[in-house]
Amino acid sequence: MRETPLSTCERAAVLAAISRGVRLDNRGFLEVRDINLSFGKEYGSCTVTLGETRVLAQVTCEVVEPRPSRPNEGKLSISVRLSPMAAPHFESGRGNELMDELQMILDRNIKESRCLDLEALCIMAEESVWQLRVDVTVLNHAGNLGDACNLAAVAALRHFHRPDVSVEEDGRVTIHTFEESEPIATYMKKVPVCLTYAFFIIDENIHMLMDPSEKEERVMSGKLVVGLNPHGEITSLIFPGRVLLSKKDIMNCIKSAFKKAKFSAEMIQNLVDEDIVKRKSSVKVDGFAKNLISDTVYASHMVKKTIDKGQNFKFQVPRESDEENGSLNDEMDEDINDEESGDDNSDAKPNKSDILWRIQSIRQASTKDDDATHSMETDGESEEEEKKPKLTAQDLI
Amino acid sequence: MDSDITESLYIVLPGDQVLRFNPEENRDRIFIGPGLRWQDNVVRATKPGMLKKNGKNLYFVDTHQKRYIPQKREFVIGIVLKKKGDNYVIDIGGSEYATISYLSFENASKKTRKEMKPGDLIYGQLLVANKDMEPELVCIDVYNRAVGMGTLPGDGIMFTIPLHIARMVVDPQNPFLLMMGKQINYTVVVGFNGRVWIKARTQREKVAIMNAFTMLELMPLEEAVDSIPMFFSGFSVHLREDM
Repeated sequence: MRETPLSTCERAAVLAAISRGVRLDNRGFLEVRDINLSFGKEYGSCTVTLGETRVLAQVTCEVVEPRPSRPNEGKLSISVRLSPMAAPHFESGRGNELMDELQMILDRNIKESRCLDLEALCIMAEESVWQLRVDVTVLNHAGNLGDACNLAAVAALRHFHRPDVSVEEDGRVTIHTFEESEPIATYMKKVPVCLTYAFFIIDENIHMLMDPSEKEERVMSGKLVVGLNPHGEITSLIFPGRVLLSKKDIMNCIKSAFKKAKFSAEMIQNLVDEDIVKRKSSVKVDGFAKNLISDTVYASHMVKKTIDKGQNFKFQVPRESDEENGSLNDEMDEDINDEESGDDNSDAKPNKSDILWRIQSIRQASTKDDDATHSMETDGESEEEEKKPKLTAQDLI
Repeated sequence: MDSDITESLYIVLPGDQVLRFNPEENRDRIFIGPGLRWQDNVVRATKPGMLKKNGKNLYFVDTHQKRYIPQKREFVIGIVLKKKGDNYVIDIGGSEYATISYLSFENASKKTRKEMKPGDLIYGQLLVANKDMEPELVCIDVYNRAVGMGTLPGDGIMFTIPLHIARMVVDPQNPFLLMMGKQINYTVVVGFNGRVWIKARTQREKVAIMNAFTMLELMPLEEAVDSIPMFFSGFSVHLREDM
C-alpha cells in the first residue's frame, strides 16, 4: 500500500491553525496526549498508548556467552518492528527511515545510556550471561512513535523478571522455574525518557509543539528529540529537519524537557511497581484482555472532556476569543518564560546552562558526569509535585 | 442516502445465509448492496456487520470500515497526484489510483484546459469503477454541467471519517449537520470515500466542526445532536446570536 498523499489543503489547515494558536486535536501547544500503560500476563510485556498511537514491547531472556571484551556483563538488544498493521504504507520485513530513527533513539536511550545494570545479568564470568531482548512492535501509528516506543521499552524492561539461577561448585548451572524460586527483577538505575518537540516555521516565526500527531509530523519543518533521565543526563539528542534554532531555544526545550521527564519517569516507576506489587500479592493477573484501552474509550473520553468543558463554560462570562489577533507568539514566549523563571527559582547554580551544554556535546557518553547529576537533581522540586504524590498521565500535561 | 426508512435487521457474519432468491420464482425484485453476494439462488454476507434494508428492497451490510472500495456513481473527494498525458492521477483512498481527463470539467476544451497542481483537492463522481479497471472520475453530469463538482478551494480543512459515518452525513437533511449549521456558518462537502471538506469563518470553528464528527462514531445520533452546543462551547467557539 502506498501512503495517502498529503493534500495542500491539509497542510495549509495545520499551519493556519497553528499560527492561530489552535491544534487540530484541540490540544495546547505543550500538551501531551494521554498516556496509558498496561501489562500483559507475563513479566516484561507492556503496551503503551499515547493518544491513538499504540506500541507493544516484550522482553525475553536467554543464556548466552558473554562478549570477550566484557566477560562479566549481560547483553541487551533492542529491535523495532513496524508492521503493516500500524499504517498501511509500512511493509513488513523491509526497513525504512523511520525504523532506523526509532532504532537509533532506543539504542542510545536504553542501551548506550547504560541505565540497566548489566553486571547483574552475569551468571558465570566468561562462561554464561543473560541476554535480554526487547522487541518493540508498533501497533498503530498516530504520530510521535519515538516517545511511545521509548516508554514501552523502558516500562517493559523495568517490569521484566528473569528466572533465578544457582551455580554449583563444579560449575553446573541450574535455572529455576518461577514456581521453584522467586524470579529476579531487572535493576534499572535511571529511567530514560524521550520527548519530541516539533517545530513549524510560519512566516519566519518558529512555533513549537510537543508530542506531534501524525498529520503534524508530516507538515512540520523539523523536530528535536531529546532523550534524558530525571537525574539530569541527556542520553540522546537528534535534531533532523530544516530548522535553525538558537542555542537559547534549544536550552529552553531541554529545560522544559527535564521537568516533564521527571513526571514521566515517576509515572512509569509508580505504574510498574504497582503492577508488580499486585502480582506478588498473588492477585489474579488479568493481562491485556482486561486492561487495554480501546481507541473508542479514548475518543469518548476526549469528547466527554470537551462537553464538560463546554458545560462549565456556560456559567462564566463569555470570554472574547483572541482568534482574530492570532497572538500566538506572546503565548509561546510566555510558556518559555514561565519555564525559565521556574527553573531559576528552583535552581540556584548560575552555571547550569554551561553544564547542560557540556552534557549535550558529549551526548550519550555522559553517564558519569557527576556535576551534571548534582546540578539537575535540584531541579523540578516544585510545589506542583508535592501536591500530587501519585502521578497519572494527566499530570504530564 | 434515501429518505426512506432504513431498518436494521440483525447482525451477520461472512458466509451467513441472508435470504433465498430465485429470479425465476420470485416476482419481487430485490437490490443487493455492499457486503452481500448472490450465488446459486442464495444471498450470503461477505462482510461482518449489521444487515440493513431500506424501503426499496435494498439490502446491504453496514460495517465499520476505513478502506474505501470504489463504486460507480459515488461522489468522492480525491487528491491530485500528478499529470499523466491527458489525464490527472487522483488518490481517492481506494486500492488503486483513479484518473480524470482534463476534458471532463465544465466548459473545458482543448484550448481552455483545466489546470491542477499536485496536492489539490477535487470533488467528482465515479464514472467507471470495477475490480479489473482503474477507476475514472468525472466532474460533469450527463448534461455537461458541474453541479457542484470540481476543485475545492484550498482554504478549507479536509479530514477522514469512517465510511459508515460518511454514508450517514452525506444526507443534506441530516439533523447533525443541520444542528451544527444553527450554531456556525459552514460549508461541507462529504465524499463517499470518507473524506470530508469543511469551510468555516475561523480556524477554531473549522477545528471544532472537525472534532464534532467523532461524536457520531461514539454515540447515537440524537445524543450527538444534543451535545453539539456544549461541544462547541468547549472549543470556546462563539455561537451565533440567535441561539
